[in-house]
Amino acid sequence: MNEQRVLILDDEPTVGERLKPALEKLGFVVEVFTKSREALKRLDERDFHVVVTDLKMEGPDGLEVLGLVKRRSPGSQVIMITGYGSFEQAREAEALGAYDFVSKPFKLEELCKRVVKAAKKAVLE
Amino acid sequence: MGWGDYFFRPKKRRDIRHLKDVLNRFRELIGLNNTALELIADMGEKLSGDYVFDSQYLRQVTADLEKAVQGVVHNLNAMSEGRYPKLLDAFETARAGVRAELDGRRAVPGAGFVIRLDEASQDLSDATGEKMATLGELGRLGLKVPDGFVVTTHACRTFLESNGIDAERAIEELSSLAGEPLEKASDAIRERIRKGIPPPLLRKSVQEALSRLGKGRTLAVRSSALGEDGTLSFAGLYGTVLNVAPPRFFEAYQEVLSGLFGPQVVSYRAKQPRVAGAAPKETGMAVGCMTMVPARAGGVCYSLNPSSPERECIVISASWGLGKLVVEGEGGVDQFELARTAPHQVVSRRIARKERQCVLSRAGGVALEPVPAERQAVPCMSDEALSRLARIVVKTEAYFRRFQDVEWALDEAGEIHVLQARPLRILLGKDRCRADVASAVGRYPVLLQGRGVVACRGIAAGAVFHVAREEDMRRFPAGAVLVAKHTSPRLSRLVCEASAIVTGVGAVTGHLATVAREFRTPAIVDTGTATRVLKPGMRVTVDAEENIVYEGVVPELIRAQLCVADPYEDAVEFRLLRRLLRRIAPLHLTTPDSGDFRPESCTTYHDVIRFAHEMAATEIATSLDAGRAGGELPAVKLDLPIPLDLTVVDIGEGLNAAAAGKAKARLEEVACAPLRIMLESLLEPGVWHSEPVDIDFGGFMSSLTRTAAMDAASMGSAGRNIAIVSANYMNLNLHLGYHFNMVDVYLSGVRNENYIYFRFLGGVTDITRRSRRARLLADILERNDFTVEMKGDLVVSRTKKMSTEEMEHRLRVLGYLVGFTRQLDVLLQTEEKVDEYVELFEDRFLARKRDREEGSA
Repeated sequence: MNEQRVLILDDEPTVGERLKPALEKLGFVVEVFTKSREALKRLDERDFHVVVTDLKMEGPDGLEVLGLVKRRSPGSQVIMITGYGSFEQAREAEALGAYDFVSKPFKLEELCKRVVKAAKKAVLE
Repeated sequence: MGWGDYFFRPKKRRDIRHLKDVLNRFRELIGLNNTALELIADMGEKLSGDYVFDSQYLRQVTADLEKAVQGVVHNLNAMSEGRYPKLLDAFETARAGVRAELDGRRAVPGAGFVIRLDEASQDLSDATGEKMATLGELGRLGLKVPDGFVVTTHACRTFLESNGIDAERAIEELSSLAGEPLEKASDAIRERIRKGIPPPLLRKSVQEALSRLGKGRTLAVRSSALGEDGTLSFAGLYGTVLNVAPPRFFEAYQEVLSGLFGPQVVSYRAKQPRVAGAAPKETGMAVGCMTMVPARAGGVCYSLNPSSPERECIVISASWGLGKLVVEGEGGVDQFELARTAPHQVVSRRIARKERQCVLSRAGGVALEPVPAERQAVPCMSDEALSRLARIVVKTEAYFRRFQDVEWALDEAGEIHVLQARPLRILLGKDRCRADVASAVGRYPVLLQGRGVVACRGIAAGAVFHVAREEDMRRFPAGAVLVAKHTSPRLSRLVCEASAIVTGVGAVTGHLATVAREFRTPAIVDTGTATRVLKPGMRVTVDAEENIVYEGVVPELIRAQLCVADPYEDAVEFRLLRRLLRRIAPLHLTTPDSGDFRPESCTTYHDVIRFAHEMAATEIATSLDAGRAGGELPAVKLDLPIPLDLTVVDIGEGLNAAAAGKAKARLEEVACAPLRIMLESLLEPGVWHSEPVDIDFGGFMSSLTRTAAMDAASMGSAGRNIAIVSANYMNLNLHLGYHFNMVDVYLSGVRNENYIYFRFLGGVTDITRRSRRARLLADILERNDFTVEMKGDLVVSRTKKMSTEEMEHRLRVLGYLVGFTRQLDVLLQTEEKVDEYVELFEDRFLARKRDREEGSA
């Protein structure tokens, strides 16, 4: 069976630390980034079924990540993590094709469920 | 608005305006008080481990909370003409503490040289070292640890500095050496420490701490260096001095301290430069000073046998006397293997011939002596004691979520003391663990899945034990899985005995859930069917990570949580949240008639708002008096068939136009929905006159003696029963007998704005019965979806965001409850009575809702 890959990007390390083991338990192969530049580089090399990214970050933000993913691999699904005061950008992300939104703080279980849903929808070429 | 403005108005108008202003301030205060409590509960809920939150959340929530608490203080001062400047001071002090935590500036309690062992915690491990921090935590878990104190790392630095030793430089210098030159340099610096002179302030702090320990006891002086016992331990490299007479404490202290510069320690540091505590900057040693336990037997216990982990056994090594022989691997040692799940049966035993034992020597220190011939071949631990020890180790493991290596002692009275606990490194391989879980879980029937809400994450197994009544609590076996219908706050005292908790009904913000998180006992609440599906005696595994309960013990799951992920509780954000909550949530003030009920006693945000809330109610009464003196007042008495003597203050459409200008209004003229519902339920047959009458003599006498004081303290001439109302809002203060109830309600068509706040406090009889009554109230309230906090005989409970219909039902329940509890405390002679009255209440009053529903259907 083909493995399903998830990339997690959030500049707060705790997000990746908590999500990675939980998603791995569900059978996903998970890569975690805290710097958006590094994540972009990785996304340029490799397609992921699901990308979970913070919206507001230092350097390139979640919208840029979303843009790159959708250009390179339209069948990948992107879940945006929104925080305080990122409402405007969230609307923009929706227009750009983000699959789902989760606002911080969120329930671990809830995000896992959404990743599973997104992965079912994801089609990589 | 400035206070100056209205002093120049005509007196009468000023009074009214003043009163209206006071009432508005009061409403604002109540609103902010609710907001603050909401935020505190929200923060507590995040500790369940079910949420992912980041430091931004912590900054935001503390900022919101700060604003709300500040608003409460501000409004209290505004409505009282600045009567509580000291509350502002208390708030600012609390705020400084919270901000310091957020900024990572950690304050060490006390003078900084000495911390009591029972105050040591992982959050203070920079000051106490890991080893003593762990002991402090275990003491709070209810395990027996020796009395004692920790001489901090700060003391260590001060000692070294005042003796002219630059620790950082010394380590750097030593690190560049090896072999004989290292030995020589190390000897020299250690000698300087042994001969050093403790600075006077350090000496004084230690003297005081020693005198608190009491006389006639000798001491164990143990290292607790930074990094020791942490992720990679400096195990065995630092010293311990046993059986030290208190006057010779500093000799031992300096000996232990000198260990920092031992040649082995220096080379270990150099080899492991990235290990916590290994960088020269991190050189520091705290030293634990504990009373010596005169051990009949002692030894070491591993929570999983590292030489055959697949056997799923705890392994215990034991010898007569102090455990030193076992630790050092000398002499004959008994070895036992026990099952990892309660009741921890002995699986194997190897009894050695124990010819020697290590005992306390009269001259100080320890000595080897022969074991009397008749005891040499006898096991030095009974099966019963072994099983107790196993329980201790499993509890420690569950708390720290790591396999454990525990050093213990059994005293003459048969009590087991934990002397040291540290993570046991067993490399099982993450991938193997995961694979084991995947293949294992399919083999076990799933009893519950995704049914409830996780209140505290974690995985544990045990036999199901149902708790319904007080006597069940007394019979509860340690290590069992607690299954109950409701998350009654009364169950909290079993939390630390239970391996896991599953309830049918309940909320993650409830009292039981909060306590479960404190003790890290895995808990799933609100499963609906727990009591039916989980049968007494059934062995189950509660996986509160995945929200599943399996039939049978699934060792692979338990093992996996101990070796796969880092415990979430250790994440930076969790530790910070716990520290913040410690400065925010604990409530120290309760009873207004105690001498401690002063702004100066408020140390947390919760204290501050509690104080302000209480005083605000008093201010209202005072202001009403003033208003009445002015002759005009938007207030009327309510004409009721029960002697409630209720004054209604209308701040906007709370009364019908028909009531205007009358001296007394009738119930039909009350337009405020919450007040009407509340009063209607109080007037229902049997509610007001429901008090059972078998007042026992003791309780009655006690109520007599308290009467005068209570009256003097709480009688206000404005009448003690006041309702401040508008169309949707009610703040009701009721003094009934000796009970003080405050009900604050907002009910509108908008579900999210609805809330009920209920506070109960009251006297008469002794504190035992008063807290029984508090437990009774808490129980009934939780069963009706209120979140409840209690402290002594204070009960604070809230419910919110339900449909108006559901809120109205809750309000009716409150009405019944207020009526029901009027005389109740004198009747609660025993804990069993609490059960009885909870049921009585349900039978008598909650049946009404069903009747009504059936009637309307």
